[in-house]
Amino acid sequence: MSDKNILTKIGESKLSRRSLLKWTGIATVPVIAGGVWSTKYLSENKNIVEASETIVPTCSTLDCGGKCMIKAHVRDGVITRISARSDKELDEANPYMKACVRGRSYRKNQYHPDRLKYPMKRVGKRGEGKFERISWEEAVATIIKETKRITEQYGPASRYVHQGTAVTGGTIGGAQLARRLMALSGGFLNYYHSVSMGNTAAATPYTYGTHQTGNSLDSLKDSKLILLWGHNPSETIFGNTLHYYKKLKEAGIKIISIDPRYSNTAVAFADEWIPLLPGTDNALMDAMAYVIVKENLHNKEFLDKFVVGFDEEHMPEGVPANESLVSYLFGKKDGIEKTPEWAERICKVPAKKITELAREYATAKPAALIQGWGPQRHASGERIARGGTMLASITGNVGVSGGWASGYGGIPRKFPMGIPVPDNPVKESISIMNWTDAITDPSNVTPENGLKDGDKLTSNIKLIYNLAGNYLINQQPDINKTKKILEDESLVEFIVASDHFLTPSAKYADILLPETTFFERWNIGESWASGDYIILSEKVVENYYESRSDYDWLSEVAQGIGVGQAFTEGRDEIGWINYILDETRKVEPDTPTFEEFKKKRIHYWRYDGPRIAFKDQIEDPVNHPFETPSGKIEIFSKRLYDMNHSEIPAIPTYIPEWEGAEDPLKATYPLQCITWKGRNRANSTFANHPWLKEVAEQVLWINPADAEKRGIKKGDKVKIYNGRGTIMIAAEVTTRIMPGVVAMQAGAWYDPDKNGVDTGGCANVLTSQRITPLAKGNAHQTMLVEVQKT
Amino acid sequence: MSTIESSQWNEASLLQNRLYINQFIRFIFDAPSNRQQLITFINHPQWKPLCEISEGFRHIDDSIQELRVDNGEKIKRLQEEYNRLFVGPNALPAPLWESVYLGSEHLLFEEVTLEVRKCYRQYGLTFIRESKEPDDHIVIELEFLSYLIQKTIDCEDVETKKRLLDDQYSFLNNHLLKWCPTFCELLSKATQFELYQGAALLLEEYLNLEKELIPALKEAL
Ligand code: SF4
Repeated sequence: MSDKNILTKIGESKLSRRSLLKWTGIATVPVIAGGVWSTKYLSENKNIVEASETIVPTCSTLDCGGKCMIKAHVRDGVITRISARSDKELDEANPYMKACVRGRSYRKNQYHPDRLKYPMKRVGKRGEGKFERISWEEAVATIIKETKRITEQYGPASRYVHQGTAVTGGTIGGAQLARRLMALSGGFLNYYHSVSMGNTAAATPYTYGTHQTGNSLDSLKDSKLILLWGHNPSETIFGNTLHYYKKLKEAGIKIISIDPRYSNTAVAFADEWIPLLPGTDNALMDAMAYVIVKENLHNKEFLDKFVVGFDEEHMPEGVPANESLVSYLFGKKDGIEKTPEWAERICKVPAKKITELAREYATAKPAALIQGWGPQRHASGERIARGGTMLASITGNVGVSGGWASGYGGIPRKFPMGIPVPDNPVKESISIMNWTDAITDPSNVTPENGLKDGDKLTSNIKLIYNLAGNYLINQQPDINKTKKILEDESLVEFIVASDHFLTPSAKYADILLPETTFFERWNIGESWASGDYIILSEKVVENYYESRSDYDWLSEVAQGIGVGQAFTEGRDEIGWINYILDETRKVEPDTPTFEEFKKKRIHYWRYDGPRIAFKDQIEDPVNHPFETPSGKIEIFSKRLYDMNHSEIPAIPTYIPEWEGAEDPLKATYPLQCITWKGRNRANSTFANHPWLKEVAEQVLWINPADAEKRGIKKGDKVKIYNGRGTIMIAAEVTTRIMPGVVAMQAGAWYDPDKNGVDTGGCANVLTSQRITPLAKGNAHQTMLVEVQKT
Repeated sequence: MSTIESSQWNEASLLQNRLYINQFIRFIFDAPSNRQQLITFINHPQWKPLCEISEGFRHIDDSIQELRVDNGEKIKRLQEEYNRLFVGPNALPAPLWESVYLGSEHLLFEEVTLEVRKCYRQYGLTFIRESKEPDDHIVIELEFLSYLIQKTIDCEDVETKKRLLDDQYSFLNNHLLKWCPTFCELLSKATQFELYQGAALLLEEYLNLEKELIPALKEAL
């Protein structure tokens, strides 16, 4: 009889006391691997000390404008809780906000079980998501080897450091460090253009000579009316601006939101919501100008003194007749008067409302037309930016407290220095919109479509460092096109990525590295332009698993490619914080030393009174001309006129944008799609966060009129598609989005099924890589789609 | 195998056997398996009888038998499965930490992690990677239990023995048994590999065995 039969007969087939006893009786026990198993991970320790809770004030370095001081409650090396500042800690001169829903859930990012724990190398096809754990030694050695090989084979211009914004809220960030490394070791292909606000940054100076057109927000108390034009600080957390809007609302100042979507800002602050079709802003602006001029509400004295291009009497030399704003508004050249009725047909704002709005804006003196950065992320974004500056100028709202010059809205105040990036030996640079062309066909990258400081590229991009960035795939327009390029391992030969999670972009890494969070490294949190302080971002806890700060491993790579000393200059992270503070002190003498900073945690920069952009130019024009060629505000820009480009008008006229409200492509894809930034994410950071997913589920907003036509009810699974891709997503039928427009939140993680249909709700499956005419920038907000019930 | 009938209450070897099973489970969950080590297990003369008394071991045995003939492909797939299940970088389908199941936020390093740490500290033990990695990983919790078992074996004093058994019992009930059943369920759903399905079964069998054994051992003192 075999053993098995005996046992079966006894009926013991599961582990139990009885069965074990039988086994115990059999013979000696097997030994496992020499007994090392008795104690492998626990060690006897005589010096255990129970640490009591400490509360460490610190600051995130995410790409979030809030820059709140948060308090990490630490017990025994573990962050047990995050708390916000108390009310009494508010400094009214330099306010910073209270931690938001994301901030209060930072622990959920920090201690997420899926956080990257070890360095990895790719083992499957690129993009497939198959990786294998390796040691740091192997990871760094591979990066050194590949960087050397590619540099030797293709030259330094084949090296590219991609946009990595996830830590740009800190003075020290991985992508910038990588650029330093590259610049020190022969150079790299650099890019320009901010995908956040590059279009307005490029266009606004054609009116004012600078994009620093913002007033400090404390001056808004003098406003009689505030137009938030595509501006949604409740959800985007635009610096500390919310602090002020709350106060303005309390003070009873009228606020109007102009937006295709009834945003949370509109809900919270606006007395009125005026929806318009995306990208048609200039039609509304022009009709407002028409009413203002027709009714004589413009500020003639101001225009006479400070402005070029308003009417035929104030035009630059060498321009033919009928090119001024007034000629345009009254149809002197095209025969079309830019009446409210004309605009209504385009932008869908009722003519009566346009007239009312124009009168209100022109007569509330002063009034602030504040442009957000969503509208300028359109194909027509540059014209929209200049349209705002036109309205501000004709009403004389420039250079006065309570007014607003409009356009970009930058506020140049005090900032800390960064870690220097030395001169790049590679002189050519590309627009960020050119990087995939620079991989596949550099001859396509010409000065016409974005190449700067050179007339051709000398190499394809062969090496990519992608640190703290999800722009490789997720945030990049036209994901389907991009991923094909990255999947081809013969094109880009090596990609190194560092991150906290396996993001859709990190999936395309050949070497994938676990990065530390802001709780695990030293940095300085920098407020956005509207705030005036720096906060020490301290290392609060040990690194999670084997994560390491990018500075650490980049230093080793620098060593390996022979520029170790030049890269570190012998400093560690704290050494660089000292350096930054010392350098900043040379410009701002009140900058604290590191020791002082460690004590006070936050440093406020003080000013005497609010900043009003162009105050000097208006009060003392003789000694303070505008920095434009004419020395005046240029509603008509001769420089733009001379470009002679059909999409770059010299005055901000309405020109239908491609894939916009009037594109014939609407016959196939009849809906415009836009995206918003939600309060549960900072760009795409936190998109994998289950709790924050509950805060705002990824859905497609569609107006009841459009839904009904398509038989769509709330909660239905719908397919949203165009020629570039398809997304499956649930529908939210709501009047909070206007008819003809659908909207979804930006930053959801791309999650393709086996047919390549995105199930994550990532809008960049639908966005286009077509560039804006002037800035050669991005148009993430311009796309036509169709929606179908599935 | 005539000794079966003559088996008696043999405390020391019983403890040794618990240790063996405990160690074996830790071995499986600690790292991707090494083929040679797995084969060594099943070649031991006591392996077969063990399979007869445990469903988990039987499944594990089946999967290791498969590896006897292997050109390297099978063990590679097994190792890849370990990485997929427990290392990442993709989302982990059956996380190995107590706090993910019992913590209020389902994260690593939760309040329960600190409670587990406290249990270790009462015996003067610390996790060698404390604060970098959480203390409540399955392998470490099992190691703590095995530490207590070993201490019981080495101990002469009845009162101390009793206390050791009490501590084992409360650690088992307050921690391992509270989350491992869910973990085992998740794991057996998440994998098609018999080794890990077997491991899930075995872990559950083992913890239930301990639950039955510890009070009995105490009673017998
Ligand atoms: S995510 Fe932004 S707004 Fe929220 S707490 Fe952090 S810094 Fe503040």
